[in-house]
Formats: sequence, structure tokens, C-alpha cells
Amino acid sequence: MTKAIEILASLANDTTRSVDDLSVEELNSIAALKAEAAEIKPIMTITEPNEPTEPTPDPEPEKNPKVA
Amino acid sequence: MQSNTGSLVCVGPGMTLGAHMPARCRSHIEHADVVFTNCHPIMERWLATMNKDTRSLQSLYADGKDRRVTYQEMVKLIMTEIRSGKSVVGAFYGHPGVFAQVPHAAIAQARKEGFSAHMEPGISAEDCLYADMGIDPGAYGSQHFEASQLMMFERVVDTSAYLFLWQIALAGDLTIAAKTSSAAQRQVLVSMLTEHYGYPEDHAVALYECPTLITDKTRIEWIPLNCLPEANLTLVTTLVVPPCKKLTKNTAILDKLHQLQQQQGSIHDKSN
Repeated sequence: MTKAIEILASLANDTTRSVDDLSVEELNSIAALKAEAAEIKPIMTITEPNEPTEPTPDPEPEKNPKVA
Repeated sequence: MQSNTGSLVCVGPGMTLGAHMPARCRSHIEHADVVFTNCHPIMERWLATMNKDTRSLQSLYADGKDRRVTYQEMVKLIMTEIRSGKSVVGAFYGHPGVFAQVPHAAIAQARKEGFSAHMEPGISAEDCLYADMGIDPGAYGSQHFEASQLMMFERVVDTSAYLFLWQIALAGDLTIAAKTSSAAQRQVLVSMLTEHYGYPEDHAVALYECPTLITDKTRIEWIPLNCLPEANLTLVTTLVVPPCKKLTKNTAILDKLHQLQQQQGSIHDKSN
């Protein structure tokens, strides 16, 4: 999977190349990377709609996972 | 025992892996003692190749958990490492200061405790949107709102300027725990835009998504405004609402400015 990330980073950095220049093997490794990542929740940092100075509610201990 | 040698830099690797990372961002990541990340999972794996001690903050999210609590926990984790004297980097998707509460909160807390802390700018989704859609925010003016905040508070929208609604997939969600709002909740937004602000129901609006990978395509999908409730939206979709009204000249202000110009002209003539 690291190889696929290297390919993506290299392609993004080289303006003389495009996705059309990738080999079938390279495309397959990227597809495998994406398929694996799709299983991970792509949760983004989200800004809340609340008034920004509104205090944060107290955590409910039973809902909070232990932090490693 | 607390050491005051700890520090924090929040950086943004941009939106597209490998394409947008500023040189300073990479340098900060490579030289940090600890790197905390909150980015797309593939982006996080790429960042992990630059520093051996890279830790994702995403495990702190949980279904049904108030995201504000999650953010508090993220700040706590970051502060623990800073207090132990480490140089900490927080890498947040896009621009670390745009639609990201944790970097701002962590920097404020670190400074409050006497540590060195600052933010380096990154390329945000907004920057990509202007480039991809060919929109100059200065041409008609632009307004940006978090979609739910626009709904929940009394705001003023100028329909002669562009309107950008971020996190449109969550529009109308009151739980602060959901990942997408319902079609009925988004219909409330559409009704508000048409009835309260006067946008036509069939006004062409765009759904925009910036790709994370260079091999993916940018999403620019034009739909009528009244089709928004049923549209396929993700957490990274932004709604672009072009102006529906022409700019109206402010004749009262223009008259004042003309008078002022004439007065200044006559003073200039006299002084010559």
C-alpha cells in the first residue's frame, strides 16, 4: 500500500505526467488502496453550527472511548 | 513535571495528496517529535511516511458521540505531549484554520500555558473551489456559512453575491452527532432559501467536491435548488449558490462620493 501512496504523491508532484501515464499495475495498486481506505470511516473535522462561545457539554463517560 | 520547551505548530497538507503540501508544512512534520493527524485516511498514511511518531486523532470519533466532546479530547491529547516538552505538530486536512476547531483551540490553550504555538496556512477546499469552478470571489462578493448555522441563526444573505454553504450534507442536523441530515431537514433549507431569501426554486446550484487523490475527478454537479433534498451528498460536499439578483447601485452613497470628489477637485484647483 505504501507503494501506491508513493505513486500518488509522485504523480501529484510531477506536472508533466498524468493518470494516463500510469501502468495497469500502478492503477491496480491505487484501486486496492482506495478500496481498503473505504472501509475506514472518512470522518472529517467538522465545525459545529452552534454559537462559537457556547460552552461544550460535559462528556458522558460511558460514551467516551478510552484514549490510548 | 511540566517542561516549557514543548511547542505546537498546526499545519495543513492541502486537499489533494502530494499536490498541495507547502514546503514548510513538510519540514515541520519531518522534524516534529510527535505528529497528530486528522485528515482523510489515505492522507494520514502518507503523512506517516514522513515521521515515525504519527498518531491519528480519528479514533476519538464515535457514533452518537457529541463531536464537541471529541474535539475536547483531541486538544487534551495534544496538550499532554506539549506539556511533556515535545515539539508537536498537528496536521489537519486542507487549511488547519478553516472549518477546524481543534487547531484553534489547541493553539489558544498552548499559548495560555506559555508554550510556543502557531499555525501555518494550507490550501483549503475554498481555494480549490475558486480554481476548479473559475469563480473570483471579488467579482460579485462571496458569503460563506456553515449550512446548519445559516438555518439556526438569524443571518442576512445577499442574493447578488455568491453564497457558499459548507457541510451541506449536515444541513439541519440538530444532534451534532449525525453524519448526514435527512431530505426533510434539507428541504427546510431549500424552503428558507426560496421563501425567505427569494432564490428561484429552479435556480442552478452546484455541488462541489475537491478530490483527495490526484487520480480522482473534481465533482462539479449542477442541479436545480429544489433537487437538493434528494441529492447525493457527502461530508465534503459544498453547495455553491450563484447570485440570483443583479447588483443594484447605491445612488445615495454614489452621490456623496461624487460631491466629495468635486469638493476635493475644487480645493486642488484653488491650491494650484
